[in-house]
Amino acid sequence: MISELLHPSVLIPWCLAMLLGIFVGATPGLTATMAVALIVPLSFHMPETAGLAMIIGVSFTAIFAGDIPATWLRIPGTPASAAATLDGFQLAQRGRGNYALGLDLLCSAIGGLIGVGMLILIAPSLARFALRFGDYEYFWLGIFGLSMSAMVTMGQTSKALLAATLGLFISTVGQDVVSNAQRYTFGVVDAYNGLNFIPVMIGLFGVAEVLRNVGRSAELNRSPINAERVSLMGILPTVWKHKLCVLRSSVLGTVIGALPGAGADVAAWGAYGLAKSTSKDPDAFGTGTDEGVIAPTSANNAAVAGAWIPALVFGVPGDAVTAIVLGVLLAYGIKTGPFLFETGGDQIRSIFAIALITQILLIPCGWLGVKGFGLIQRLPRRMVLAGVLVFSTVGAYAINHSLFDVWVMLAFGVVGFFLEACAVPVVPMVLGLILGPLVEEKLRSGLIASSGSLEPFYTRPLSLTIIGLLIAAFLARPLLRWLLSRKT
Amino acid sequence: MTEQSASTSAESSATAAGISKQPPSGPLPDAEAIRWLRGTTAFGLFLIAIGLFALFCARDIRQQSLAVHDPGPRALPLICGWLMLVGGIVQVATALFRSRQHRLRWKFEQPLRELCPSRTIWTLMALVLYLLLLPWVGYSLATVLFLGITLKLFGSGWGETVVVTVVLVSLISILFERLFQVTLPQGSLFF
Repeated sequence: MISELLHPSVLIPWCLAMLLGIFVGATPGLTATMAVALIVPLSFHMPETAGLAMIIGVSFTAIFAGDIPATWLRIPGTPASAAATLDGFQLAQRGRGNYALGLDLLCSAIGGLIGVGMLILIAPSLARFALRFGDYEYFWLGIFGLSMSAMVTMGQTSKALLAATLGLFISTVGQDVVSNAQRYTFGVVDAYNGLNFIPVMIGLFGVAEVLRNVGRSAELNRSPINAERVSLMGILPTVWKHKLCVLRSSVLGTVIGALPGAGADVAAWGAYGLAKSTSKDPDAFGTGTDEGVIAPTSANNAAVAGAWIPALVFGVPGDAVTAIVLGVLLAYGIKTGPFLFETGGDQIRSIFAIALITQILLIPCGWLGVKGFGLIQRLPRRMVLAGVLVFSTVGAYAINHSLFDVWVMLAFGVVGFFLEACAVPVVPMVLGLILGPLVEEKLRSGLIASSGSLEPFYTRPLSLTIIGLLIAAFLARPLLRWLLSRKT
Repeated sequence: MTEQSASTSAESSATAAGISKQPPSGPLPDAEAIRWLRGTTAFGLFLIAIGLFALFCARDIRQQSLAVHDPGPRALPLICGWLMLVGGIVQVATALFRSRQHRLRWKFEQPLRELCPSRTIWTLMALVLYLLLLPWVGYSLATVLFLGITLKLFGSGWGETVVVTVVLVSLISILFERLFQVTLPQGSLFF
């Protein structure tokens, strides 16, 4: 089987598809879903193995690709890449963008390998565990994610929590999923489905960054950043130094990815918060630390593999990308579900082998993408800033062919600029926006199921475990400090 | 106050924008303390405005539900509205309290000039104009105009402005329209 996969007739279209996935994923406004959707018609003209490899390859590359503009331009390509706008972007500002993306790439590949490894070894049991998550546990998982806003912005807790509340409020815009009531839509049809994440993030991070830079003449006339030359081999010792962080983040990413509805974005922020709370130097996070790059990037790619667990075991896709891939698998005659592991031996082995090799191929393909995109940094800053504004506008428009999304982008650009000028962290607002629907829906359906009783929220064993983890995450640092102070 | 220095991108941005993220505790330089006060006051006022808006408009949300114990679609907006309102008041009160405590004199309108230099305002206006023009004159013409204005605003020479505008407009058109089949605005004036 391996020899068949490594045959040029399979390997070449596979690598080309991955390069296209990186190109699409790194272009603001073009999503991972679009990359997979673009490859689907092409894949049907290929032999079955090559077609499958192309589809699976693209689905695993788009998350890493989203980190590229997040690191260079502070525009996250996907919601899961928003964490890369912190330390990765700070490193790029110091001319270490290639290093940050090299580290990101290696950790994404390792995270993906660990995720696929877990998928192979414990998919059925992990899927059974994920099925035990009810509304109450999902609610706490959402709260856990929101609490990360306080964790990632330690020292600005009150402002961070208020920014998260603002994000929660913005997440209520649109049609209520339970009752269909309109909330803050004011008759605008485009707002019925709520505000799209991508234009909001392009505005909060990309446009706000441009507005901040154009106000300073020194920034406009700044010489192009001379990104240092780095080799991937030279970055390996750094990865080895932080092996525990990579492992911990990848495992966390896979577990969170296996929960339908949680996804790579929650995984990335969860891993970032965990890495910060367990770091020896948590105050350095956000200023361009290795761990700040390693944790979210290992977790978000591992979460893609995690999302395959319920998809393959139960046929339940966790996100749009996995849904398209499942559709393609069906077209190839691969029926996902519990019987796949018992009867479809060759098929499942083929999928696993493709997923594993994809992680290896991600390294050369991703590095090509990093180098290609890095050329932008050699242009004068004023050109880059003007280009970012146009790309952001077209990117926001391209998602739904809607000018409403472009106005949303502009509004959030102004909000992001204002918040940053007031020293209010923007990240908690994004977390509130992403997790708001999950928290609200699960709280309400939980209350309906329990006839209005709050008891199951804190009495079920799994709920209690998450509450315990939440408390532990908050107490870990003060407790460690107290113990260290007693020692000295 | 013992709040420690945070480590987000907001820190560098805020510092660069001239606002300190550190609350004034102890013998801080007046300028730094004033920057913190301005940021906190502005954020507090913003939250109060959004909170009031959220609470006022929440009255129009139909409180309907299919289930008996569902708190309804109005619950979360109301909770968020009250939290933002109270949180905003606390932020402003904290800033005023510290202002008196440290006997600092400052004017609120100063940060507007400091934070929003004229080039930022012009860029924003150009962006608004661009978005207004897009549905009327279409992607190509609107983008040519927008890039022409912004590049000149950012200090590019005429040669650079023309070359960058032509290259970017063509590149985006090829990438989005030809390669990814995204139909960009055509302009209702011409069709």
